[in-house]
Amino acid sequence: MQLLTFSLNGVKYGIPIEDVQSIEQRINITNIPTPLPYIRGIMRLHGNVIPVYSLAGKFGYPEQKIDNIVVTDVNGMPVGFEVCRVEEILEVEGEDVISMPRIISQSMQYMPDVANHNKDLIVLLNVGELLSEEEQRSLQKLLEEKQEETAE
Amino acid sequence: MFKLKQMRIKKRLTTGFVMVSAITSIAAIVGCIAMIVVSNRYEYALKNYGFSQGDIGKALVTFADTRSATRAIIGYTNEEAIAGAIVTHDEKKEAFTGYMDNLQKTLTSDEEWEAYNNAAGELDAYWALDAQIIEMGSTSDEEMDHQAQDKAYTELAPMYDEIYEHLGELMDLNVDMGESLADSLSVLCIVLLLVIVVVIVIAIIVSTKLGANIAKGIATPLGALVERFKTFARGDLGSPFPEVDSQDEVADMVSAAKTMADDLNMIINDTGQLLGEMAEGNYADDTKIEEKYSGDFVALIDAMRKMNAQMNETLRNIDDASNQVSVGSGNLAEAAQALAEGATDQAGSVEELQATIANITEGVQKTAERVEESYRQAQTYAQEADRSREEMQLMVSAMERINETSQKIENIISEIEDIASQTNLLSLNAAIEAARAGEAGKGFAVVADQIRKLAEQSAQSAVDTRQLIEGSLSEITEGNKAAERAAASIEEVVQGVKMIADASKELSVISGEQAQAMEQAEAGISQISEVVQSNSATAEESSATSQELSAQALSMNELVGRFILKDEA
Repeated sequence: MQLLTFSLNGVKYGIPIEDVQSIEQRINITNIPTPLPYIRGIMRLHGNVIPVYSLAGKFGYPEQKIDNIVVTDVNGMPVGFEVCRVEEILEVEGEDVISMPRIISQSMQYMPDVANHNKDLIVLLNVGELLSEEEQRSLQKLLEEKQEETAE
Repeated sequence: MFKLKQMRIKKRLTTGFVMVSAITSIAAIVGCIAMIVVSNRYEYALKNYGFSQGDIGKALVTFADTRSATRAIIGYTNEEAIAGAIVTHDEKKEAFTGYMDNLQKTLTSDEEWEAYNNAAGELDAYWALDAQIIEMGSTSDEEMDHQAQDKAYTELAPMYDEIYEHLGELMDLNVDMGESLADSLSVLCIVLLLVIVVVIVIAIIVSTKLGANIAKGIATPLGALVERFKTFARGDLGSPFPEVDSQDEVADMVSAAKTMADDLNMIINDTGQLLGEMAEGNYADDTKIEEKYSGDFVALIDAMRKMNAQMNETLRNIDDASNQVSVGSGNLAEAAQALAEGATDQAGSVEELQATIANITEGVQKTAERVEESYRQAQTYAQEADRSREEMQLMVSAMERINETSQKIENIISEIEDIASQTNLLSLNAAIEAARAGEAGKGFAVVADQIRKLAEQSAQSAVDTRQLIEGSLSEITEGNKAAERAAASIEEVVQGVKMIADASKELSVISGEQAQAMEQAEAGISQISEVVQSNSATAEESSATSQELSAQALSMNELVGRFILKDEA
């Protein structure tokens, strides 16, 4: 399988390349007031408005220097995740993918596996599980409002 | 005999005086009894013989008066005269009767009674005849008178004579008895006088002997005691006191004196021993009979102890002081020796110093010449340094220009980096797209990967270039700094050289002054040399003196050591 890897707070994370839409530079982000935690703001992408989500905030890391935004498809909704720096695209064999210990994967379903690559451990993220349904619904609502504002 | 010797003096004297009084009283009582006896006898004699003789005499006179009055009555013819004579006669008769009654009471012997009764027996007949005659004679009738006269002469007169004779007999008896009584009284007086004299003599003898005995009993032991006290006063404490076998106050006194002498002896011996020990130098001893030092002797032992303590302390102080002196003088001797050696060394050093000073003086003069020379050289170097500074300025401005150019190159490299980054991103996105396209995008994925590699290479080149440029920039900065430092150094060198030039001038002057000062120093050193030599001599003397002192302190220490002192409390 092919993974897009990036670093966050010194840890190497990976997302299956099928879930990635594009990689963007962190520019033109509009900070808006929102009751949702971890939502940094919104950005324009190919004529659409997408939310920008702080993985560092979600994972409880301190404030990071953000270079890139990884745009993914979360259950049909494009969401931009802040990462420190996108690194590379890797090919990982099936036997190198190991399940996360149950004690971790049970409470954090968005971290199902880890991949072993050149002695590095890459934490694999399931973007479909990163946002709770509540968060997804609230985001959907927020985006619709903003879409209308720009249409007007 | 009383055991007078065993009595107390008070009782003895009292008893003695009582005995003398008793003897005297016996003498007095004997005298009194004699007096009473003699007095009684005299009273008896006076009463029964003295007074009765008087009464007999008076009775005879009044009896004669009655006869005269009777005769007058007979003889008188005048009535008045007769009456007067009768009165006289009656008065006399009454007096006579009174005397006779008195006389009757003093009669003692039978012979007297016989004479008295003879007289009294005749009296009644006499008075009856007398009354008859007075009655006849009291008339003026001559016949009657004549008859009366005759009767009186014949009858009354013999009766009168008889009565008178009896009374005279009584008188003689009285006189005889009185005289015999007087004789017996004289004898009695002599006997009593003898008895009294004997008693008085006995009393005197007994009293004298008793007094002498008592006085001897007191005076003898007292005298012996006095003699002992005299020797005691002359300092003989040890001889025995006189033995007294009585149990009186003198014995008490001797016993008290013995105790006193014994205590005194003990105290004096103890004092003598203590003082002797002190005289021998032993101050550690103390009295063993402290209880004997009572009363005023407490002051003695206190004074002795005080003296002992003071001497002890004084000697200890002397001991300490002599120890200290000994140690101190030893130290002093060493110090003086060291001083003497030091002074000798000093003298050597001073000589060396003199030589050195001479060298220095020479050196100073040479220095002055050299200094002048360096002044000229410093001026030449100052000009050279000025030229170096100007060239340095040119180099610094050239380096500034290089710096500006490098900045521009760095900006260009930043742009290249940016482009490389974007290219990289682009190649990643292309790879993602290729992956999404699946099998159809595989060739594109290869191209995208190569683009990504190129982008990485160009980014790496840019980073290398930037590093080089940054290296040259930092080199230039360092060069600039070095140039500035060099310029500053050259400036300092210029200033320094000028200062050296100035200083050289001043040095030249100072060197001249120094040369003079060195000459003065030489003179001073010579004086020091003299002083040091005199110091050396003095130190030698001082060393000798302190050694002597040390020896004396040691001998003092030995002297004090002969005393045995109390342990320090």
